[in-house]
Amino acid sequence: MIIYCSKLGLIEISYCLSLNEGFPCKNIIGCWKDRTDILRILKEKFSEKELREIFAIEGSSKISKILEIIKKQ
Amino acid sequence: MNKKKITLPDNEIPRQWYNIQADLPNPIPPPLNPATNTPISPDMLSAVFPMNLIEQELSTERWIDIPEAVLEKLLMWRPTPLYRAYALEKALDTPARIYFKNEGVSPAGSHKPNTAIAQAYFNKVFGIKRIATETGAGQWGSALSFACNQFGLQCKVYMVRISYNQKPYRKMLMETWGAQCVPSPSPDTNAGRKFLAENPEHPGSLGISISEAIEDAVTSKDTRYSLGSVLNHVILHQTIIGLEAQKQMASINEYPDIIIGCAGGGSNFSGLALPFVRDKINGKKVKVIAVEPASCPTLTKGPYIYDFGDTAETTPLLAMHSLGHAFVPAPIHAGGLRYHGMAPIVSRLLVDGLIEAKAYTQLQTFAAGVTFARTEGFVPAPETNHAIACAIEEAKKAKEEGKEKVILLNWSGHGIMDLAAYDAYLSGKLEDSAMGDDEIQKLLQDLSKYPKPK
Repeated sequence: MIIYCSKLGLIEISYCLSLNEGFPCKNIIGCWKDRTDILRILKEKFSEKELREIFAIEGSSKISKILEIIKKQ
Repeated sequence: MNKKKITLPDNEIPRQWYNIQADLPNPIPPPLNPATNTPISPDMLSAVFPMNLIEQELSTERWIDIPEAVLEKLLMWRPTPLYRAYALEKALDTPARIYFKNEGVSPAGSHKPNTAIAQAYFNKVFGIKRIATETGAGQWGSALSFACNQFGLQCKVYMVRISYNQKPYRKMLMETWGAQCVPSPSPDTNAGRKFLAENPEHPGSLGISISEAIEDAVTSKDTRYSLGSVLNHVILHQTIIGLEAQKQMASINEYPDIIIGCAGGGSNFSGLALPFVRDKINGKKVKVIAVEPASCPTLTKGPYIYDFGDTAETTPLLAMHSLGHAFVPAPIHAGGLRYHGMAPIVSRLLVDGLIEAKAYTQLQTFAAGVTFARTEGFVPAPETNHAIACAIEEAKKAKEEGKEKVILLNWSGHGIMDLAAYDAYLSGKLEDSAMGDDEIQKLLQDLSKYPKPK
């Protein structure tokens, strides 16, 4: 299955499931929920605790990401 | 013969950018340093951006002069033509008059060079020799490569590997303009090496590419980082689109009833819309619509609230469009629902009722793009298709109402580099995705207790 991602072009669900160091993209549910049973796939691949952690943090804006990286440099 | 293209002579190119921060009924809440909960200082940004651009970022001057050297470069493709979409109107059998501002005529094929040229110039005069950036699908990387070449700057682009492999022509375009484009993660930075050590075939992500580009900018001599969306100075540079369109419409005695642009980071939408929003603030009647994907309905579904950034309520409260940090009962819904990344200016205009937002599904947008290509000829970028889908809907509405509406849309870029996406659509490999209203309604109820920004 493929989807058009406005940030990256055509991508497969396997990429969306693992792009964050093995964990899914924060947008995965919004993008895939009406195409497949994405919740079931997520629950099969990740534990409840992992899912809570993955989606607990707000999708950060580009600016907060930049500030975070500057701080680390 | 009907006039198809409304052009402006070179000597009528706008000589100032419009800064809406001077006219906003309510100022934009400043971005906060997540560590201190205080507004970000210019010093913090100076590690990655030149001070002359930071000054523009913070400026509240209404008009900012466009330097002659920037105008000279912009004249390569600007003023861009405004087209009347006669064939599309005929196909829709609508009384509406549809105009589109063709930003696809730039060397890189989109609106992005409007700010890339300006940013390259301001870096150059600040003494910067080299710019690093990241790119996802390649549009911004292409635009900045072109702009750096024009001002004799070196440019390094970290392109997310999955897109780099999929879109070889984007890489070739960047290299033709003399930039160095590398797949990210790359072996050139600490961040990249870390990911490659874990997986030599790592497909990359935008987060990794941003990390690489910023590390490069901070650790390399005379180098800065550059961003093609979201920031105020990027939006400022894009206002030349709307300023030209105002002159072009006036030259044929037209004024739009409806302005439409697709909104990702918000820069192309703002570029066309903000000069007209100024008119609206001053009493003009005009409807301004930002269009987003239904799969990511930040503006259309999320209220503007102060919300925590995390479920544990440990982060500062941020003024933003959000669907809430405590979305229950299924926490795993939250990520997909609560994504945000809209420019603060666009968010604020929505809150103040100066613009409205609409969302369309993937299939609706590609159907609109194909209709456009088969009537007007030009193949739009997939992002541009969102604006076209909205324009078509408004034109049909005008027909139902029997009204001669004037519709103006920003045709933000061509889709010649995105034909694989069209192929996927035409061969039935793309399907719809959209949020359920019932879930959203429940969520909005939960969010009603959150404080609202003033």
